[in-house]
Amino acid sequence: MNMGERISRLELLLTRIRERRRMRRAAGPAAPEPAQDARLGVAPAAPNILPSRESVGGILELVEDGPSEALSEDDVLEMSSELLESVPPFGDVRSVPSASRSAEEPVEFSLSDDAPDSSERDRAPDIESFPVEEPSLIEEGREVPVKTPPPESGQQQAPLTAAFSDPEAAGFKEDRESPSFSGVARTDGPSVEQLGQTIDLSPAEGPDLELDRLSDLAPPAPAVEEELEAALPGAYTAQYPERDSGGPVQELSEGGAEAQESGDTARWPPTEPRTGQASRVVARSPVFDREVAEFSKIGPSWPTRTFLSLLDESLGARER
Amino acid sequence: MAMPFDPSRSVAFDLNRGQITLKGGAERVLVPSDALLALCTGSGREESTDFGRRLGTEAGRRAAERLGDIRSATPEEVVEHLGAELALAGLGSLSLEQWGRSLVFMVTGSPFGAAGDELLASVLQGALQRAFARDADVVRLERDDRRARFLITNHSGAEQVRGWISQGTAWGEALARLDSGRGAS
Repeated sequence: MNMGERISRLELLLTRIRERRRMRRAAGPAAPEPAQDARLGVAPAAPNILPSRESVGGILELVEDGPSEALSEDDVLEMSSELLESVPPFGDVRSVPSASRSAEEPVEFSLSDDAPDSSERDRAPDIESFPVEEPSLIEEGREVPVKTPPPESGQQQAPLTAAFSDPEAAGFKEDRESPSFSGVARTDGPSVEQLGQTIDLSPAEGPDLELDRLSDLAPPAPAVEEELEAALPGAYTAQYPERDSGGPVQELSEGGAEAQESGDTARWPPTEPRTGQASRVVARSPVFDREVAEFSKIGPSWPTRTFLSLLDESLGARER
Repeated sequence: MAMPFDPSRSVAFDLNRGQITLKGGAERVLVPSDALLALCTGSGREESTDFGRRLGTEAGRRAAERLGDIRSATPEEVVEHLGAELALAGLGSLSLEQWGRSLVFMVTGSPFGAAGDELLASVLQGALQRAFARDADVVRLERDDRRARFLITNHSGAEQVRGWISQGTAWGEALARLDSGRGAS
């Protein structure tokens, strides 16, 4: 039995005790219980005494020693009545002897958090907030320090949680330590909440599509360097048909001057795929042989005349 | 036909003796251009013109020696050899233009600038006198930051052009007037 189940059973036991007390008060209000007499006493209030680990252990042993049927409600009430008389007035600590132990060994539990009579809320004692130790340590009576070790004590090993101490969680621990553990809960399949409402889609309806092969529409892309992250588009290839119409389209790539000489027609941009004859060709007008530029020499008389003749002409005009 | 100008070993620096000589010429002196210009401008106009003519006479002589037959020398050959002499002297780059019947020398990159144009004119005058045995008058027509144009004409024509330019006539118009006057005569 793990700690959670123990606590649950203890809470159940205390709840039944309170319920029994409430029923007794309702049945005979003229005869107050000894516990209430103790509460109405004039003795100064005793300080709150927290249950010791031994008392918690006693309670745990009380629950654990036998089945819940072995400890009947009457027995519990009788034991509490007897003990309440021996407890000093206004004391918040009750000693409940264990069924398996002798009456001289009190088992203490705190009633300081009992709910008031006007309240219907049943509240269990704060046993959950108590430091819980491993059963083996508790049984051995060893006391493990609860306080956080000082920082100069060095690196401490983190204590195992209750979930890992649970035998059922051992399987998870084994899975966690296995190399195939991925941090995702191992389930056999999605739950109903995860699935939600599944809608089955009807099969697609519509006309059938036929796609041409890509190799028929575009020339193969050039080889891409491995170091490039993205493939660059291939260089555009201008197409020049031959001079006679109806001839095959001749490609003009970089440096294709000979192709340009043989054809005068260009298509731009190349929107038509190369699947045969072009639907529309804009032809460039032919260029006839003509002199585009005319050069004139500086003067035809320069080579024939000497510098001396020019000098004489420049000097002697007025003087002649 | 004259041989093309060969500038190889045209200038010899004898550092042991501390002398600079031109091939086929007398000893030279490397002086700062501004110091030489200051000396020319500081002296009188006649002294400066004589100094320039002496420089041109030396250049014309050396050019005529390489040209050979002066009478058959083409304008290109004259520009090449006479311009080479001016270049060796560090006076700039020479070229030749013909505007109508007038010959115009153009000097580019003269170290003296506008202040040394009169010196350059006297250099050209001395070169033409020595090489071609012609008494020519050289008139500066115009100049900008890099080049200057010099008209080769006779004395009367030079006086007319100087008068027109001083009156604000453009140098092209002055050349046109000079050419039309030659035609009328």
